Amino acid sequence: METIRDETAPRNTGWSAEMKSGQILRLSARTIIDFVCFDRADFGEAFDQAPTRAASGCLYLREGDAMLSRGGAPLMTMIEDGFAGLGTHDTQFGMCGRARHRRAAAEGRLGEYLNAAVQVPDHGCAENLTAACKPWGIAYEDIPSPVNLFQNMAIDQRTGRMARTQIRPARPVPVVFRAERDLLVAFSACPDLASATGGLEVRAEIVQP
Amino acid sequence: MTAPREARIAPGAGWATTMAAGETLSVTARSIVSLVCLSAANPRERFDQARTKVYNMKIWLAAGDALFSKLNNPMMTLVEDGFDGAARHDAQYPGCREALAAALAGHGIPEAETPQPLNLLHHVEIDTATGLMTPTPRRPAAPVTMVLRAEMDLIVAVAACPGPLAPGGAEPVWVTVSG
Repeated sequence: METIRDETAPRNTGWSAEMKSGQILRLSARTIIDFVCFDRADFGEAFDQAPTRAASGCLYLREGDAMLSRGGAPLMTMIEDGFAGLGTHDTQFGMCGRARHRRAAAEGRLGEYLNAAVQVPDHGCAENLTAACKPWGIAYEDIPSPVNLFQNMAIDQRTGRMARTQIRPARPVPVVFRAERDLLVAFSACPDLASATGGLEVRAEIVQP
Repeated sequence: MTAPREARIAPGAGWATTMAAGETLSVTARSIVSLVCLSAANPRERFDQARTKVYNMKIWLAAGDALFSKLNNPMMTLVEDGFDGAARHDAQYPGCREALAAALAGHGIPEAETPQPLNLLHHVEIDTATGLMTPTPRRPAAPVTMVLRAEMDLIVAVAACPGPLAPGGAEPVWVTVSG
């Protein structure tokens, strides 16, 4: 076991790193993380929610589930889920961000974020992931809608309506992924407007087993 | 080239056209139809399943719901839904990518820029507690019509999916653009 990286991304910032096939990524937090990955050899083979759901047959990403690319190739596997039993990881939402917040404000819908005490920031996950992917020449349009770790949604069985919840881990817990090929991984430590905290830092460790 | 205004899409095939803001697209079928749209002014602005679900705060779509782009703009509105009440449209599955990509290639859109679609008439049972999804063979008994209004100038692509769960297998889809 060799630790390749052990870093902490502050609240409402982005982070990215290259990983080799077989390496382990451990993300520890008690806040929402917007998480994406790309095949290092072909950034067009980006994580894609739809084939990931089609393969797992599930709206939520669970321990043992693979994150698939647009073309259906496994990019990563979630091998440990410290949130299991407490809440679910979302694959319905996109990234929050300036454009989203502006539209929500203009339409009087900021209240859907639940926690009115949290101030709306001037940037969010869209801007954070764009900045994190920029060194690799990947534009916002080509950053896929992410897996939203620790984003526990309440979905009404009859109407399909979604509501944000404040269910988060009480203390930072890990979610652990194995790289199934050489990758670029990136995440945003979400400003998490729904939570009581308004976002927190995220610890990222890459380990060579 | 004049944009085609109507077509019978053969089972398994795709079709694409351009339409102006305010025009409507009627889609008539009784099997799964995958639909995507891109901004005609900026084809890099594409339909996005996730942004659409966030905007509507729903995991499936019905009449009145808007289709949104990755750039957070409304692209189309589902103004009439012949499947409403009987079942729902899917925004979870990849749909018929090859047929959509082939149709969009005629508009200069690379395969890699084909977004994940809205899958009309694809009724998926979802247990929201466990998240488990079960595609069903529930389809209209006779062809029904969905009408979508363009909220910006668009390139739209429609595929008549060879849905394996459809009772009759692949079926044709009729599309009409009206001004």
